[in-house]
Amino acid sequence: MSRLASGGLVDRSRPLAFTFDGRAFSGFAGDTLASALLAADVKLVGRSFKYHRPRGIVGCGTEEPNALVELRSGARREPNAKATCVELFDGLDARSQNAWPSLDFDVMAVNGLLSPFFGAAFYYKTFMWPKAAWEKLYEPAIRRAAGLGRVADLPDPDAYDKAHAFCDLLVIGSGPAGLAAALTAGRAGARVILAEEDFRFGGRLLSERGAIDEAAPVDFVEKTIAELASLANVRLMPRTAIFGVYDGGTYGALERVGDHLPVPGAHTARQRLWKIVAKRAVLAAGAIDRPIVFGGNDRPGVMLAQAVETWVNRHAVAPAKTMAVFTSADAAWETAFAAHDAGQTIAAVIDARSDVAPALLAGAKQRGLRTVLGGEVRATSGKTLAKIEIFANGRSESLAVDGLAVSGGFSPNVHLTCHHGGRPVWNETLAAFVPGACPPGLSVAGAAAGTFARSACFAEGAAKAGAALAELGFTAPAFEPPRSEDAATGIGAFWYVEGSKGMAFIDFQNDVAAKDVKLAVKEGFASVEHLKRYTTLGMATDQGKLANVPAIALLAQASGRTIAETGTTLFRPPWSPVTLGAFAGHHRGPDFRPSRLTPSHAWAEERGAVFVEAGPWLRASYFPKAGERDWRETVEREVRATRTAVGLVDVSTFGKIDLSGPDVGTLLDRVYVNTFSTLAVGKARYGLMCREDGFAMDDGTTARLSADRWIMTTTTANAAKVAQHLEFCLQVLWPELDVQAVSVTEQWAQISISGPKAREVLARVVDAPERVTAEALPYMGALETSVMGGVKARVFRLSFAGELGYEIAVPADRGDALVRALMAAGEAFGITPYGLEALAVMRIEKGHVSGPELNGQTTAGDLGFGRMVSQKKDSIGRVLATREGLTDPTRPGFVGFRPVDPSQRLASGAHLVARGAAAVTENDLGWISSATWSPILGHAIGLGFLAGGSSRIGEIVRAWDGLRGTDIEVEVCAPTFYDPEGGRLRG
Amino acid sequence: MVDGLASHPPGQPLPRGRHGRTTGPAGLRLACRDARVGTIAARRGAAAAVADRLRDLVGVAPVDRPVAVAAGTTTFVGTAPGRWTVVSEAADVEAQFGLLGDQAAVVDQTGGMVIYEAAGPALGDVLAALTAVDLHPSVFPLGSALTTTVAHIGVTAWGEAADRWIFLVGRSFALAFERAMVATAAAHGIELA
Repeated sequence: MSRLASGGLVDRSRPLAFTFDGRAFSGFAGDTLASALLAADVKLVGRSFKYHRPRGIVGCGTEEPNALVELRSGARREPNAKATCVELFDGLDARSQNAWPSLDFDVMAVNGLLSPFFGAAFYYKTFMWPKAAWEKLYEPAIRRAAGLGRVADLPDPDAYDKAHAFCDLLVIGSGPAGLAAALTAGRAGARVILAEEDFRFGGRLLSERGAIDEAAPVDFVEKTIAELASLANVRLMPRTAIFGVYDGGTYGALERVGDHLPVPGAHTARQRLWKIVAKRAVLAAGAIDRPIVFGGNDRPGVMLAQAVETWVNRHAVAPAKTMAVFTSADAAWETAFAAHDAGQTIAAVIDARSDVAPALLAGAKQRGLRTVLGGEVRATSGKTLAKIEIFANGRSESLAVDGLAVSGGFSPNVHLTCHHGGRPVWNETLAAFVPGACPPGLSVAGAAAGTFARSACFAEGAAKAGAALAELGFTAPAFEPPRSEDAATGIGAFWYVEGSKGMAFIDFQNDVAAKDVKLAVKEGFASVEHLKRYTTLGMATDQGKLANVPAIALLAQASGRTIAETGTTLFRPPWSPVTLGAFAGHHRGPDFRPSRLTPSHAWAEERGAVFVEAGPWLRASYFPKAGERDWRETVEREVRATRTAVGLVDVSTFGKIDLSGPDVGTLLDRVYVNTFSTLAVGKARYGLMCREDGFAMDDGTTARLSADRWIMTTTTANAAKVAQHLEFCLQVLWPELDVQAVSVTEQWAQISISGPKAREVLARVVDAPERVTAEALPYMGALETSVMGGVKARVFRLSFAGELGYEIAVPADRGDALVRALMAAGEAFGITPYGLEALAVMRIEKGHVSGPELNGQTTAGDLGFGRMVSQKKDSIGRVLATREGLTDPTRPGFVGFRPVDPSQRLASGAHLVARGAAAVTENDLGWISSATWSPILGHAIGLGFLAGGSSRIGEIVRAWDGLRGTDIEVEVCAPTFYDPEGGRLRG
Repeated sequence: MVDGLASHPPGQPLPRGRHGRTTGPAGLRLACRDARVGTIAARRGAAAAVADRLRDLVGVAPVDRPVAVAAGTTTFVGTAPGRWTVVSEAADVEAQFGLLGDQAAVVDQTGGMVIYEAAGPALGDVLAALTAVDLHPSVFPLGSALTTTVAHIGVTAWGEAADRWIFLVGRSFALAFERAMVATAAAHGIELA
């Protein structure tokens, strides 16, 4: 047990039980899983990705490359959780991953013996022949062998939230710079958000010993947080990682609301995705300790010095019994001192520099610590660390240690500064990349900017906040920085021990070693971007937080360039992993998107309708009756009933736009290819709308209700697009037109009744039946009237189905009543409700175009509407529709098809080829866009586009369908299969 | 928390009553209001004249910005330049405002709109979750209105009090809106009236 008897920020009165690989352990509130494991002397926590080498805990936060564990079980099983970021809770169940049969003895560790062969790009080079084996053999085998952790294979039982927040200043990180920034802005009265990824505010102040205002740093943190919490204009967000910087000052943040609980609270989300819109932001994300590349540097027990300092000071854990420190930076000396002062044995402080600050040497001497200057660690041994081999002053020496704290200096956390393309800049003095161009509104303070001295962090945090506030018009009161006992911050650039023995790792998680970088350079992959892809360096879940800088330094060395010349790859979002569930939030399963319900939905449910998603709408697809074998039988009944008696369908989903004003006729003439301004009051007309490029955009009918009031209908799919198009026309193209376009899609329920008995049904529902006689309301007539005893209504004599038909519109809240009234009125005539399927059959029988024909690739000419395009006026798309390619007579034109053998079925998507021609692209004559079985005709019919169009009516071609494996001879015919003269419509 | 709506079909009405957290008073109450709704769109250049005429008719002039103003039982909400949504307890919006004559288009939307009143101490949190708009009083004082999307549903909304808001929702989206409110307010407890 390595828990220190006293100190630290753990609550010894609150023990927490947990298991790791089935073994029971106990930690304290305030522990992470990593600190609790170390306190329990668990050093081996995982196996590496490629070589399955035993690995231990290296870091103390999101930089951790090794201690990836599976959390929980069943549906809540979560792979690749970083033990260093997992807040301990009572009952936590964690398991190691990537090891079989056990973490202690992993069969796949045999890969390590083959490591001389597993160099950079091993897979690319090895699994090249035979080509066919890649997909069938190599890739599946490699994927099985690789992979990290197992995702749960059950639906996620938890809920996820989304939220928005707005502020003047977002402060990212709550170390000294972040606290100073937040305090400065909070006191100035600005709206402030302080986001901290950890469960406790304070950043490195929680891990350091140097006094602030003569007291422990944590006292300063608590006092500051208390003041911030007291300010109404400050929002404190612990457990919240800012993971990305997006446009317009938008920051993506993930709040782990319930991850520190065994199960999220009842009715509480597990995680919440925040969009934070900040006028300004101060990035105070600190810096991460940097490993040194040396032989055996991945052995469990080799840790970052910064992490050791955290274990000792924050979590009261001695991570080793006898420890050495290997560094080229001053800060690690303080780690040695802290560990010594906490009672651990420090075998030696080995500094690669031959000259260090006298104060450090004095500190070591005072504590009786051995120091080795100009030294290096060349090798390690033991399953977990037992021995290190050091080399100094020309001789080697073996030291028995079970812990080695390593620091090659600090890498500022510049990640968020790169999210708009800013490239970090190499700073030779700091031996680190510091922020380059930052996203607009973001400034960087403290260690993230390369400012490592604590008092300077306080000052810089306050200054950056003050500058941001000044830009926003706030006057920030002067910030009086606390008196800070700063630790030494000197750094000497040191990356790699040339005399290393054994594998010297750079990227621990992806098992990229120094030799791989050298090999990549030798093989010509000397660009930093190529190196990354060739070796997979920096591509693991830690995204190279530890590996990047040492790798670039080695690359520079191997390719004879400076680090500045070598440059760096950029960091993309997310800063730390984000659960997909958080992005989805509430929008999953039935709530993936909102469902729109038609006015007749409840009635259709009662009738047992089967629904289909049509865009966001849930529409009745068909209404099965008991005894019907399948949907085809149902649809056939619905079609026959409509053609012989009367059928009813809800068409409320059509877009409806109320147009009024003196210039509506002019507008319509310009947006439709055909003329509308001459339309008489009380009449409706079919119109085709084109895009500027001459292709058809939408169709529908528009009726004139009075001299200056019109009602336009659009297809269901294009309702919003057409409304938007009209607004564009009115606001941008022709602002002089006085037209008011108001969407009334929601306002009007529209029920269509079609069939020979439709008029008789209608007459029983309207209040003035004499107004809907054949004479009073002829085909394409429109009428404002009332139904059901005074309900305002509009009646249009139209039919998509091709029968005597009417569309009756009432306010949507009366739609349900109208459907029921029509069904009651039609009962005597055998009225039959039908859905989208029967509607589709009947429109194909009639040769009406719909979505598959109005697919954005067809012109009015293609659709057979060439003569409808008025040449007496201009309209959108008219000019560009005359382009050579669009008027080519061999261009596929709209025709119908029927199989030569009437027993055969057609399918949309089939390609058309000439008889005897090979089914290859060069011979493609067009395609079948819509196909169905016609119950009325008793054979299959199709609509489509054939080169030469209607000039080929009567010819036989083939409908070749490579997907379904069919090749059918079809006769080209006119697209109107049913009642081509339209007598039934006009009856 | 398990998503309480995951197994409730999207086409079926939600049961009235309490959803989400069951302890303590509900953080939010969602109820429907009965009133007429319409759109008034001024003819080109006639916005000011229409506003004057409406002041004469109702006693308050609509503001040509996203602001809700009310007089008696009539509220005007600016939704676009020269365009207002009117909520009124008058029997017929088109008749009430037909007096505008040629100066404006008046379009009844009563049948197509559901008027929701959402009220309770959790309203602020629920709004922050649902709307991508800064609702801080310094930016969005009481009386401001927004026409936006919540959970991919178009709404026009405004506050009648700090803890009471009105949402106009298209009738086809009403159930989806209720689902979004229930899911979002579950942690606080929500009462569907």
